[in-house]
Amino acid sequence: MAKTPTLTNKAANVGLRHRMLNPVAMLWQDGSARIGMIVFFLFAVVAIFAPYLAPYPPFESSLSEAGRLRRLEPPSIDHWLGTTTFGHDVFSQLIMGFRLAFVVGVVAALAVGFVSTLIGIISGYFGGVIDDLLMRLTDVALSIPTLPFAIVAVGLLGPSIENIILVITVLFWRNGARIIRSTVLTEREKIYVKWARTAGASHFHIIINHILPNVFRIVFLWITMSVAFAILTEASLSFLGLGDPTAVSWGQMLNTAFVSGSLRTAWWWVAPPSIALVVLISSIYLIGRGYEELNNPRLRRR
Amino acid sequence: MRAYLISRNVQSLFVVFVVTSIMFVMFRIMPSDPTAMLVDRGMPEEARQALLEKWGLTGTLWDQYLRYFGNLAVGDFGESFFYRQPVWDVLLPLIVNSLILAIPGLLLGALIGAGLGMVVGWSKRGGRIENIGIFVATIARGTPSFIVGIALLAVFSSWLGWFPAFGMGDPGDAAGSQRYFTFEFLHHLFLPLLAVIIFFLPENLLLMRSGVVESRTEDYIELVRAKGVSEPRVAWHAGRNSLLPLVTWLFPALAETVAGLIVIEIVFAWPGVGRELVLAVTRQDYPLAQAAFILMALLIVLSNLAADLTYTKLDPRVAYSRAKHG
Amino acid sequence: MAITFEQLQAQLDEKPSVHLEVLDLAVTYKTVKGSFHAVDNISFEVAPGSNLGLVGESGCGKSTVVKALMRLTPEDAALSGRVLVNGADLIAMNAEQLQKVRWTQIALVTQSAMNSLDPVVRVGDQIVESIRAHVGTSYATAWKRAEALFAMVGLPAARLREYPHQFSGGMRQRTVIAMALSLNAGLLLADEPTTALDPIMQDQVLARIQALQKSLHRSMILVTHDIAVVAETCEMVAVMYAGRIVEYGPTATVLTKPLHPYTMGLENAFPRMPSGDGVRPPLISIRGGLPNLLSPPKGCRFAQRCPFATERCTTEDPIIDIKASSHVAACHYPSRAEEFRRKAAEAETWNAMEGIT
Repeated sequence: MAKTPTLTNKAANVGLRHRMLNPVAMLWQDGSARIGMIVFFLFAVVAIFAPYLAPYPPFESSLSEAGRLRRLEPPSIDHWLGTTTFGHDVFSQLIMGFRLAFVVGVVAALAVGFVSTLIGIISGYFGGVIDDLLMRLTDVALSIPTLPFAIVAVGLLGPSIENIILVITVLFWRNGARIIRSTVLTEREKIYVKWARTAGASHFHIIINHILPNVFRIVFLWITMSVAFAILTEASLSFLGLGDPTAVSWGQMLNTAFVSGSLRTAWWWVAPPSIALVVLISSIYLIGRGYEELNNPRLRRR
Repeated sequence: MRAYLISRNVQSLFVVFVVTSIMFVMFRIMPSDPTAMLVDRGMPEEARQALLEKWGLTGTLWDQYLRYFGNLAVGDFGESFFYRQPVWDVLLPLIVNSLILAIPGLLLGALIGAGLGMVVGWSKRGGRIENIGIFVATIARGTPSFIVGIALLAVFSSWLGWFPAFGMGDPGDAAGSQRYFTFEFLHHLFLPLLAVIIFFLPENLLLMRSGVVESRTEDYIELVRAKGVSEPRVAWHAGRNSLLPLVTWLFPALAETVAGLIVIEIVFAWPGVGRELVLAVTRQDYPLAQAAFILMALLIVLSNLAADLTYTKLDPRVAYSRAKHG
Repeated sequence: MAITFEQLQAQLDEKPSVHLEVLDLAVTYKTVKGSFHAVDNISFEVAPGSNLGLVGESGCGKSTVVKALMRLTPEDAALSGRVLVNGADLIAMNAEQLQKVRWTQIALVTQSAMNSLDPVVRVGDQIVESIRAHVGTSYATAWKRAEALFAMVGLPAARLREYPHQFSGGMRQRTVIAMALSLNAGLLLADEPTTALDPIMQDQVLARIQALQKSLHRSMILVTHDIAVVAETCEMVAVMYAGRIVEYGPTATVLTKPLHPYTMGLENAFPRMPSGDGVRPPLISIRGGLPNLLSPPKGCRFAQRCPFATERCTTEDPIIDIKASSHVAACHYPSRAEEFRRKAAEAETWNAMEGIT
């Protein structure tokens, strides 16, 4: 009786480490996912070293020798990507924008991942009334229009990075919880889970050692996709003027350009944050796409 | 079948009720005092009370809640703080404007997307059309709608000067419902409409493509081909069967579209509900913001319902099993 | 332009049956691990109005042959050899020519009627589609033809308006048969038409096919793993093993005097009626499985499982030449067939092959 759990335990641990490394190795097989991962990694490097890469403080107004504000200057040696209407250095803002995108993206995605996994596992593993209640809640949450809710909530709570992350978490746990729950449902029926149960293992033990490692792939994917949703939501809010005024973000750069009416003239101000956003979000979508191609047997090529 | 529809509708109503309640509570328990901007500090207490009463802001939270729903039940959303007009009067023309943009945008986006998805899905596996198609669609899907809008503005308005940059018409244009039937209006509509289409298209393309790729290996496709019908006709069978998953997956896509629409309305200064929501939030015009939000939630619930009905229509198997099991 | 129902019926009734000659047909798949021959240089012939039984265990390539005969093999499969339909080579045809031959000359009764009908199109419309793809006729006329076809297979015409999921398995199979008859094609390919059905339905559907065959005089290839069915239905039989035809000849001769040890084994594997003295012969199965076609063994492909294999069998490939005689086999020892048949009837002969799995 005592021997069985130890055995499965060991096997599960080996499996656990294997599976933790698995998603990246698995996704590497797919061409588009590979491109996505490389781009994402490069962006992450820029985000980490952003303060060392940015030549100026992002909100420092640049003055000419005559002491005049250098407004809306096209790219030059001093300002690689020109200046904004306030004389701020576009390149520095762009670089700092990497950092903000990653802070919001990664923190919010981890929070989303945590909440969805928690709810998905509780709902799927225990089933019954708990499952019913949580899934009703998910149904209601799914009917909340994403961006309108974010606009209202951030408008009421006040525009700050913390609030934006909170709102994103509140919004995006729902889809993840659904997906993870259905994976848990199939895992729960597997033989080794039943063995562990009869061997007297606790629910906690089973969840940690058997369920969690097996839903890890899908959780990993959901967190990855959530990074994209979070960045997109933050960018949209910032573009609408509801971003954190004390931080630089790509959405906010575009908002400032838009509001100041520089959209039609200052391409050097508008294009860089736009391109950065598109490339970063697309890189994550490419990863998601690759995952789908690899995991849907009906899409796989023979 | 009827029983199913009734339960589906009741469920939808419940969801709207819950979402509305959440909004109500959110607006009331906020730290900032919603009445601050309404009522002058120097105003005599009596006058202040009278005003608050008029806005439905007196009594306990519970009283306010009951009153609010009582009014909602008869279609009264209250009065806008900013416009000092009934919310409904402010919103009605905006709803029309939003729908003029949204409905053709959605339909065209879905249609073109499904068509292109059909082409990509039917192309040779691992071939150039498939690879490029998926790559471009994925990038397009990763492009935030305001960037689509900005790019369209930059190219077609600033650079080429073909289309106006913002609004729905020029001052002095025809007024009233006449305004929707002028060239000026269509001229203004073009770019924002294009933005909605581009925003909505890639998702449809990718879904359709997955569906076609899945169904093209089915046995019935082989038999259709064996019958010696033309290849486009064979593709039609695959496409017809792929519409089913497309419709189910449209639920989340439609919810996303509302988000895209808000941003597009802002970029093109299109006077719609989405733009008004953002303005109302920044102006702390809570009755208006609340109403706009509820309308959008309602839209999502309704579109889910519509998708469900369409699905039933498209797949005889669903209709059959529902008719059988109630 | 549009022809009437009577004209259509008359036109179809006049259609001659097809003379099919298959010469050195090969189907090759290219995979990452190399190419393999799912069907390896097979030849056979179906005389007009006659039936050929194609038998063999699952995976031997018989379904691939059927697909190749309609050019339905996947894009990554290479076809070679000749398939002569009344003299015209199907393999050499372009897409347009092919489209014209399909269903007008060769029609298909598929294996899995469950999945062979488009789930979202009404059954009647699927039959109408097959008619209107080839004959310039009105929808109403084609529908009338569909009604006539349903009557032929014993289904009420009213059910043409229903969807496949409303049909039972047997009804779907009959629908597929009706569809195959829609243009009275000269050659019918029936790919295990009864496997998906329960035994009672199997008999019914088979009886239906046999009856239709008698009245319509079409040429037919019946693919099955059931030798008894072939015995009842087909004049000629081809036995397939590992992508090749190992024995070919008139059904009666092949069943009573098989030349190839595989055929002998195959017959053992089926329950037979008790012979004259009331003793039911025991069921004996051939041990082992099909060889890996990615790297087929040298010599005879059956050698590993053959109780009579010699040194020569594992080195030299036995050739089958269908023109040589009316009854031929791909075996080096046709002269010892008598001896083999005697031994093959005993279970010990096959049980001695214990070593292989």
